[in-house]
Amino acid sequence: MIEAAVDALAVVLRLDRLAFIFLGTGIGLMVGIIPGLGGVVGMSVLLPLIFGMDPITGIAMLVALTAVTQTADTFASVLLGVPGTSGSQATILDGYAMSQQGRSAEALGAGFSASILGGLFGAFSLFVVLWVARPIILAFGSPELFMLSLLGISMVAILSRGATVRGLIAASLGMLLSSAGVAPMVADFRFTFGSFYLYSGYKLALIGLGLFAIPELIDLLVRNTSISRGIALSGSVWDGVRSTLRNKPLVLRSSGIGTIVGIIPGLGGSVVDWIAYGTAKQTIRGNTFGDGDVRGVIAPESANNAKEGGALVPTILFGIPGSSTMAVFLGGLVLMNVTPGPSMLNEDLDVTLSIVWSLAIANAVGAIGCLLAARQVAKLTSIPAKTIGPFLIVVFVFAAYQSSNSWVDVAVFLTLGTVGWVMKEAGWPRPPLLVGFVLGGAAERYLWISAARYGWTWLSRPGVISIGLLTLAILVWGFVAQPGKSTDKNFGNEELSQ
Amino acid sequence: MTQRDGESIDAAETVGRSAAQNERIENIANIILSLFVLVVFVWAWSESVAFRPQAQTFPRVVIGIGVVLLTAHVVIAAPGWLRGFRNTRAPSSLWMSKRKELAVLGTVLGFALLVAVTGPYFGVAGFLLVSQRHALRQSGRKRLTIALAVVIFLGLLLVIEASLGVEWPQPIIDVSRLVR
Repeated sequence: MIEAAVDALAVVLRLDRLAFIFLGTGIGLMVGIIPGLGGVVGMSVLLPLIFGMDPITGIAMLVALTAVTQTADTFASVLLGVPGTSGSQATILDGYAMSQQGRSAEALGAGFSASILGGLFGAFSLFVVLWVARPIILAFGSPELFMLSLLGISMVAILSRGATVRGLIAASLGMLLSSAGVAPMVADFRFTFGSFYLYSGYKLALIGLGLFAIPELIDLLVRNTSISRGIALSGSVWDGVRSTLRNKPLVLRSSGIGTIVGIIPGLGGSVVDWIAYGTAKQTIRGNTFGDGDVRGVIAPESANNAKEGGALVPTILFGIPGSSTMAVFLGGLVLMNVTPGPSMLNEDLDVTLSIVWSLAIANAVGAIGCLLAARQVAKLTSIPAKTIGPFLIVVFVFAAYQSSNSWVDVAVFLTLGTVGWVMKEAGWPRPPLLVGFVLGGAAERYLWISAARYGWTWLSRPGVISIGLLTLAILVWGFVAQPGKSTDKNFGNEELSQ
Repeated sequence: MTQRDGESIDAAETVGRSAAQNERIENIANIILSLFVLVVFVWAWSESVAFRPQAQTFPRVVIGIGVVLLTAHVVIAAPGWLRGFRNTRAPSSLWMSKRKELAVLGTVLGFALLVAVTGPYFGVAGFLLVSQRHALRQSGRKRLTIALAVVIFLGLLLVIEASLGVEWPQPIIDVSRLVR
């Protein structure tokens, strides 16, 4: 096996293949930096280009793109306070708070270094887990996936510490939003206002952008200071790197969470950062999460890069895409006459191992590139609001428009932005709404499949009971352990430090 | 006083609000939001009547849980809201203090309308140049910097459009076509 891995490395390190990996990395960084675009857009751009290429080169380029999209999205999350992609939603909680304290370079350094480590962990896990993952994946049926969705929703109790009731109401609202569009089990259209636009439901990118971008933009322009609030930029990129290295156990734990969530098909990348963030917040004593704690950047960033390695496991082994990006990646495999399945571990072993190496190389190259650029890009946070604000308005409106290339996107963006602004003024936490929206659809789908397939007997499955008890414990902990007043003047989940 | 208390009071003062005004605004926002959520839940429940049974179960469970939580929230928070209203007199400038926020929302809407009417490139260039007029009135160096920033920004939009196949909004009245 080691010999095959070394051979695959030699294959990947060929100059022309490296050039294509760099090209994929470049495009991945570009789509990651621009809020609203994501891995799916980048993959769709590359698909026509890889037609006719040899499989190893084409797949290496696709893998490079998907690997670094999750790295570059840190720029938007930390500097602008809006999620660059769905995998960096949780990063904004502490990353943007650090920017407001003039510590954006440190936040970026921590984010990128955590991304490298997470990405390498994901690549290594892919290499190891491919051979043992089959029983793990098969053990997760729809009942367990439903319970995992509930577990994710219960993270709201942690995310809205001190405002648990308001957080859960926001999560309910998010779940209700997720039920707009076609119902999963019957051909019935719900809450569409008779509009064709809503037949496919609301778009996640639009909800994230609306809820976070507009309130932060308003805050920035009303204050009329820079994002760093006139505070001189302090801390360097290397301070962030050192913080990551000091928190190795956190990186490992979060990367582990990322890989596992990635392996389980159906949950997708939108929730991995929340789970990693929630777990870190719950387990680290004396943390100041929400107020600019660098560990609040490290946890989600290492998890969302590690997730890519995990998501490749079911894609390669079973041809089951773990996320929408992986669905397009699957199309790429088919385009190059590579059939996903157990044959990937026999006849196409060279292709599989080249995927592992491409993932590792792209993660390292992408994150190092971002690290080198971070110091200069961080200076954006010191530009006065009245200068940078109009540029941000342009970026946000165009990003919103990319959801489905419709003017209704902009209308929904403005409406959600207004709701997000009122939520911020009222001290209601906004992240739970996003979590409820992300997981509501999955919860309903898996609940129906479980009920149709198993009746009520699914409730007695050991996996269901274990995850159910964990969910209950988190909810009780959220209500009992951390009472107090919460404000959403920053991002909604921090409490007053008494 | 905690550090965060201090920060929020500072923030309130920065935008011309006192802490009492801030509390009052928070209470009013809470009441508006609670009412809004209640209306959404009631509307969604009434809509769900028309759905098939399998399609209405999940939304109704969510609405049920949401209404119970909302009731609990109002019951817990209402005494505080009332106390807050009794203790702080409504400053005459309360709503005026929100005008800046509403102006930003209006600006975003205005920009979207501008692009809708004039097309992406005219819209963006026009909006950016008008919004940077304060800088354009200043020194020659600043004028050059802003002009360069606008040109680079437009160039980036073009590059992204060309390389990623990203579509920009199509104008309702295409000014560029009229000019041609």
